[in-house]
Amino acid sequence: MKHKWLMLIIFMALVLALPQGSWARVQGACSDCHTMHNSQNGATIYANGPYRALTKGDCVGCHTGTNSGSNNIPYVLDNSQPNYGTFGISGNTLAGGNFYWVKNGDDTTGHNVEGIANVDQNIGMTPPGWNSGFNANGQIAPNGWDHQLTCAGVYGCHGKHEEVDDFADIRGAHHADDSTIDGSTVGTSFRFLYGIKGIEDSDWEYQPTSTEHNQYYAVNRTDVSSMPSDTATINYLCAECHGDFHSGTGVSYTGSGSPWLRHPSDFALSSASGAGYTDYPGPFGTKGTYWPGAPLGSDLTGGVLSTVTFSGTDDIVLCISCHRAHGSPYADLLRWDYNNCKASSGNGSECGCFACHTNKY
Amino acid sequence: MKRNILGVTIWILAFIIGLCTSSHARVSGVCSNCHTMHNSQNGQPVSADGPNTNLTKYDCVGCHSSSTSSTTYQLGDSTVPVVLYTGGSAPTQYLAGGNFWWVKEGLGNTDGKIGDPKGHNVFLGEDDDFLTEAPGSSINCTNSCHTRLSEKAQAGDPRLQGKYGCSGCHVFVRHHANDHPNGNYNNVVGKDGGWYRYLPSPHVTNYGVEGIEDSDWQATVSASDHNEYLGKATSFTNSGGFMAIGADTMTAYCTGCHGNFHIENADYKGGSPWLRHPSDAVIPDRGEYANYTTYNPLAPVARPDLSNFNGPSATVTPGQDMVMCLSCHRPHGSPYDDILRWDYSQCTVGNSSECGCFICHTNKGTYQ
Repeated sequence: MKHKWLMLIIFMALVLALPQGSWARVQGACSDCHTMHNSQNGATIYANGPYRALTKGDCVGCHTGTNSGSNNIPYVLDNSQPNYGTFGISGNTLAGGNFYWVKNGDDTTGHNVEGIANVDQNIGMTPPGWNSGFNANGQIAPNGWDHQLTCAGVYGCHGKHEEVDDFADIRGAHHADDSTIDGSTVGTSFRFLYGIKGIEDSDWEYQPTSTEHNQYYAVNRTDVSSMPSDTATINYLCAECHGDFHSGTGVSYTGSGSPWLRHPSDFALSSASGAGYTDYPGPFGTKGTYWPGAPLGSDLTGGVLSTVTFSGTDDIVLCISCHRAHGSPYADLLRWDYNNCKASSGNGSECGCFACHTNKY
Repeated sequence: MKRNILGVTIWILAFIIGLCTSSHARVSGVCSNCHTMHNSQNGQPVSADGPNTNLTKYDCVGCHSSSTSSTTYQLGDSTVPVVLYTGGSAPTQYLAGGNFWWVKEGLGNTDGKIGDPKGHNVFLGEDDDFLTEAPGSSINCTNSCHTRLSEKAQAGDPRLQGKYGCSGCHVFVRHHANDHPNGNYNNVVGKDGGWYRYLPSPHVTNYGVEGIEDSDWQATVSASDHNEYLGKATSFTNSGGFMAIGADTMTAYCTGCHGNFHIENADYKGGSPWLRHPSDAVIPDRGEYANYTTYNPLAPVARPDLSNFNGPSATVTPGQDMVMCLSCHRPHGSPYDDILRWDYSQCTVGNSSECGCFICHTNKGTYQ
């Protein structure tokens, strides 16, 4: 008898000694996300249910709420207008932004995800810059865009792009052991973006700082006219739908003057020939201090970086240096209001472009 | 004491107002007036022919042309100088450099020939039907840099490869250079400001054109409201260019292509008789030339030194100021053959007419 109690105590000690989060990505009470029968006190709990994986709703069913910094579930949609602030780093939105504005009718402010917003009335269903060739991490929309964008799946951003059903496509990810983010499975990919690497901020960048933020994986390319060789960058994730904006003859050209035809990504500030880029973040801080308002990518060897040394491996422009993946208050899903971007105005403090283009305001 | 405080206050307010006043300095205004990051908006390309270099919505002509104005127009909150008017009839107003309307096929150059002498032929494929190279060219290169602006350069220098047209002269353009710090447009624009009107030497880094840029590109112009140009009188037996002249003058730039036109005299010091019309030559302070003392923007002069200028001057000082290429020609285009600033057929000795020659040659006729 005594041996049994001793064994139980030892077992519980072992359990408690294990590192937090090593068993499961998600944290908190199971009932935060699940209902066994969608029934409580004889009544249906969640309308239109029951839902797959015994959840409280579809993706947005769980991921809807107001971020407080202490919530266990990241909220990407708020039923009331979030506090975004000027650059989305001082309020209650997260790294990807929030779908609130596109849900409430402004198609230009977010990805028009099924179940959140209608099909974009300006663009339709085909993503701008769409190129089906960026399929190293799974083929998105193999038959073209005859289906609205979804959270995950064949027509989605998250997951492995093998199932049309976004739930099925990310099956097992939420409870996967994500202690190592290597892109090998959905659960061990940055933010369930299959094949993509990165370091995940523990609270999804709720009010990030220079020392507390995601660290995005990116590479500095010398040739942007060809298909990229590294398909694990956050920029490649964007390219899976917006590939013509990432690589190809429509991005750069060989000739006199500036080679850029479209804004670079997976390209280091220190590789730019013009002046001012290595004065990042310009008006937003001391030179070389990471500014989460306009994030830069790195090769991840230095972990979460608070300092940018402009080495070519820690100063890499990203798509999300300028855009929010989910949505923002601003057109083109920009992180800031482009109308505040005025050359030669003398005031650069309201336009994130000037974090890199430091001599243009 | 009260007077001093009032005076200082007025001075401070004037300074602040001066800073706030739009001065048409380096480009200003919302970035989206000129740029598109991905050449995509609402799922459609912004520029049908794009994407364009430097992520611009339009090419040079695309921005610097207008069908409604031949001087300037508003692109959002940016003021843009017009060098190509695309309206159906000839413009009556134009900026300092003139207008390409007359040389553009389909506009003033109605048959593809009649307008050829009226402007630099900068439009791709619209070769000058009368010239096979720059008149007075002293360059022996076999590429097209110094022959035709209407063809892409096949240059040994990779920085120049493929340039033509606008970028055949405005070789390296720096729209965002701080050419007028603190909104001061009475300053001399040089290297730090991207050079006067973006005219650097194509070959030598530290040379380019210096000058004082009129704030509205001479959309409005008078004796006291105009560009100011730099000149330097040197040997008149060489083919000019920045290296030979050794200064950042407008004439040095022109003679980069039209070098033989700088071989103007058998005597390196100049003086009568001239073999070709002088340029960067001091206007004599005697005889008929001494009468040109009030600046006439139709026949601009070059100054030997701009460092003491606080802005444009209405005074011409014979014996110091110089005649230059632009005293008689407009670099972009004009209504007149040889890109002259006036109708040469009006220049009849002894007559009073609108002949700009008589602004300097005051005893040959009367300018009116």
